[in-house]
Amino acid sequence: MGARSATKKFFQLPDFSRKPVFNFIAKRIGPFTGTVTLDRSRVYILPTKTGLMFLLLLLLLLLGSVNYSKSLGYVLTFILVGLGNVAMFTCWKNLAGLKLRAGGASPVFAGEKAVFAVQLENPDAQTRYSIAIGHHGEEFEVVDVPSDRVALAHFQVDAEQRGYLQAGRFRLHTEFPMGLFVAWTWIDLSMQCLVYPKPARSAELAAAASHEEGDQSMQGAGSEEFAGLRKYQEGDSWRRVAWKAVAQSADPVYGDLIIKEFSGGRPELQWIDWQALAVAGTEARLSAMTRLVLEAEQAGRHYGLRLPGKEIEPGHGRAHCAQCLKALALYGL
Amino acid sequence: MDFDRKKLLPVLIGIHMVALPMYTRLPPYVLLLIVAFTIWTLLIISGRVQQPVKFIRMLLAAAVVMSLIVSYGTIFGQMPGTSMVLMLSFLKLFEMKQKSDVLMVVFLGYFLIASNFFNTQSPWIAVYVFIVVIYLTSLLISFSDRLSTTTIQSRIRLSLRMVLQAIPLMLVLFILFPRLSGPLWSLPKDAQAKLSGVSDEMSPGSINDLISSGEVAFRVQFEGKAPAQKDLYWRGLVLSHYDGRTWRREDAQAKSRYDVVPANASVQTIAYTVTLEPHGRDWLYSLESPIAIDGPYDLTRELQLVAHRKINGSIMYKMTSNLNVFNKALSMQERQKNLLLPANLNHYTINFAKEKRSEVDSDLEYINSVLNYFTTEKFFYTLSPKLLGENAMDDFLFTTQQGFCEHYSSAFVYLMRAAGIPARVVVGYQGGTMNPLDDYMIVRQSDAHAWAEVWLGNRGWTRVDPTSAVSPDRIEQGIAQAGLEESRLPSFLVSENSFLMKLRFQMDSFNYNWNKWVIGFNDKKQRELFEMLGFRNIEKSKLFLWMVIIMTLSGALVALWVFIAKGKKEKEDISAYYYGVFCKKLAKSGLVRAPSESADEFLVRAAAVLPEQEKMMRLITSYYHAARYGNSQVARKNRFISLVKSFRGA
Repeated sequence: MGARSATKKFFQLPDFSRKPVFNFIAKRIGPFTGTVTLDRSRVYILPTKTGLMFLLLLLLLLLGSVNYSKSLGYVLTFILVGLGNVAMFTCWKNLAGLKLRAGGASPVFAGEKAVFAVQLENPDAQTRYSIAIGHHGEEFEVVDVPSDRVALAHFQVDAEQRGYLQAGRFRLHTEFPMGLFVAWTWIDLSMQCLVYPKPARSAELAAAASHEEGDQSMQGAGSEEFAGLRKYQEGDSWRRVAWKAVAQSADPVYGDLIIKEFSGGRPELQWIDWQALAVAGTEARLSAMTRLVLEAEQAGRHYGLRLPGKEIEPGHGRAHCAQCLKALALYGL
Repeated sequence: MDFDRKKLLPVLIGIHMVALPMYTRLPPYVLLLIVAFTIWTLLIISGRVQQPVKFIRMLLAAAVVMSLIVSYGTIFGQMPGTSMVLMLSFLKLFEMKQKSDVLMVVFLGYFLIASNFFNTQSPWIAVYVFIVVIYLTSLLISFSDRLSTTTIQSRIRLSLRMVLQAIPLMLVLFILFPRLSGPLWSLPKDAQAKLSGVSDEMSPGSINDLISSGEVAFRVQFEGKAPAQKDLYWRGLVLSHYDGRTWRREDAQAKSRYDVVPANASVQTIAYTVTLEPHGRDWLYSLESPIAIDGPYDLTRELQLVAHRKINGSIMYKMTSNLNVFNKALSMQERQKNLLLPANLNHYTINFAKEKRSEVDSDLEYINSVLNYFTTEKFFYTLSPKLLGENAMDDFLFTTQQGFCEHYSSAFVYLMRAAGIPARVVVGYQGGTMNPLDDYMIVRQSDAHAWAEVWLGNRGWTRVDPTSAVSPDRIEQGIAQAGLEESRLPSFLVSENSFLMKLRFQMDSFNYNWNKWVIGFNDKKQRELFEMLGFRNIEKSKLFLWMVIIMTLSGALVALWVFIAKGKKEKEDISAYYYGVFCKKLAKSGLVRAPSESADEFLVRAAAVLPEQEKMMRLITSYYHAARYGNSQVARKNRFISLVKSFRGA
């Protein structure tokens, strides 16, 4: 439904809400939680450059009609005046009445772009076309919202540091139907996105690597006894996929991957420990630990996390990884 | 932004729609260029050629200017200007790179379409312009539809809806916008198209051309009963100068004002309103003799009604005439002027006149004997008379003896002058057809007529129509009954079957009201309208104020209505709303959900009654829970709505 357009600068209107005088506007912008209906006090409208050109056309037509006293000239001029009015109203209505809800944002790593989703719900019988969403003067996506449907619109925010990133105000605007007017609104839906620390580069990590040999060393594959096959589960290492068995199965899709299970040998175990890292500085340490978590997860090892004042028991899988990363992201905040 | 060249096609169609009514008026070079531009654009659209580079475009622009100079001799004026803007819109297609270029062409289209009104303001062109406006607006819609998800039908529908919604405001503005009585700057010479009507000179054949035209000359609304056909002499112009071939009007006439004969309370007074079609001349038509006029018009000593400028737009004026009042204005100078004959021509005619005059005692008897001559001799009323030689009167009176009103009136006046009686030719219209549907009279170009006026000492200027002596039916019943060979008459004059006749009257009635209320809506009409509504002498500034007030009020009303309607329709949650729709569908089969009943309880109860629907209802209920209370996924919510919509109930 929504095609992401190339990021494009749109005509940015003065940001009134920053000034204290315009506090009443800030009240309309939010932050809000839950569903926000764009009522008339939240939707603003002004003519576009095209709209001003249209106005010029109307003046020329009126001048011609007056001078040549052509009644049908007047009729044409006035019907276009009416059309301009209807266009203004239609444009305003294209946005007004829309219901907005926060649509969530997947966690990202610092230095990446956080993508926030907004749910646009159209409770009316008419499709709302070409609603663009943007943030800080940059337009990210254009969506249509069919009648009685919900559409998702996304915008991006640079995630500069770990922790919770507040999306802040975003802007919805539309020039539909005639491009003569632009209707827009600023809304803050108190959306936030979890930002993980930026993972350190593997090379940096190698120097600081400190696998605690012994209890967390990897078991040789040969020492394990093959115990049988089971279905793939999240977090299983790709190394353990029984490719032969997969090839033989009728429908080798992702969910049907088959994993070799071993018994006897202990699972691979790794502690990622704040104290054990020979890296200076909190952020650098967190970055390094993030990288370790990612690598451990990718390698399919069982791993635990030790942070000052917090310890996460060893485990594996997507949820476990997310838990570890979250702990790293929010450390000390 | 890269421009999709496929989008050029709808724009190209748009320009052609705008230009269509002009094609017949455009000169061949311009048409040739348009054809070339069209083919070129089609090639660009199909991807066979690239858009021309700037240098080529400049050459083409030069070609455009050249074609205009070759065709018109200038690039200024209404037609050259219009053609230039039209061709430049075509050129714009060649450099179309982005949205704003398209918008430019569409706006030029809105502007160009208005130039058709220079040519005609008929209801047909109005309908056509309406259609073009809808199309051009749909183009604007397609360019603000950023995802291109709308279909052409939905765009046209939206455009139509918006244009229809624009009509109320248009009407308010049309009625209330203050009209000026004159132009802001002087109009170019070619602002008006060629118009037909009686010309200011009469030579053999000039009226003949008009007879075959079914065009309306003017329409008349009588206050009271219309006079009889034989009294309907619509005086236009008096022609008193003859050079042996052509009758002309005196140049000085318009300047000498004539005081209108005071109206005595005669029963013969007729009041009427004339709606005159534009004829590009400065005179108006009135019944004999005009005694009161409402408007900025002069009455000359010859009782011609003259406007201060050419009638280039439809006008309406009120008249009062008295059929029994005679014009008694004849100065010595006028007497001499109306006795003048070209020298050394038509000797037979002059001798004939002198002879005839000497046979009788009075001028009146002489007139009768001349009319008698027309009746007794084998004079023949025909629309295709034989050509006349240098001595036109001699040829007509003694050799060919066949002709039309212009021949008879011309010969009659000649015979009068030859006998020393001041006489002159009058051209105008004779007769008219009542429109039975709308109680007004239509006078067509085919009613054009010429007759004579002679000076009789005791009465003043007296009308004599020699044509009536030859073909009395022409005067009594109108041209269609004049006993002419039917094949020579244009089809619209031949008696038709009643259905077609009725249809024609209906169309004319529509045209009449169109001209009266739409085209003719000027400052005067506007004033009249407000007087009718009880506002006398309303000032223009007040009118403007009223316009603003009414627009503001109606705008506020619309806004209020929208907000009220919105308040009623407010649905707190879309999922809850659609669950309600689901319950309503079930209620039709007798399953009414109790207010306290949960969705799951209701499901159990409904499943017991409608087991065959259980699976569907279970699905809807679970989607409802997910959509309403779950971590509302967009797809799930939309799926829920689709399910409810497709649910049939029992």
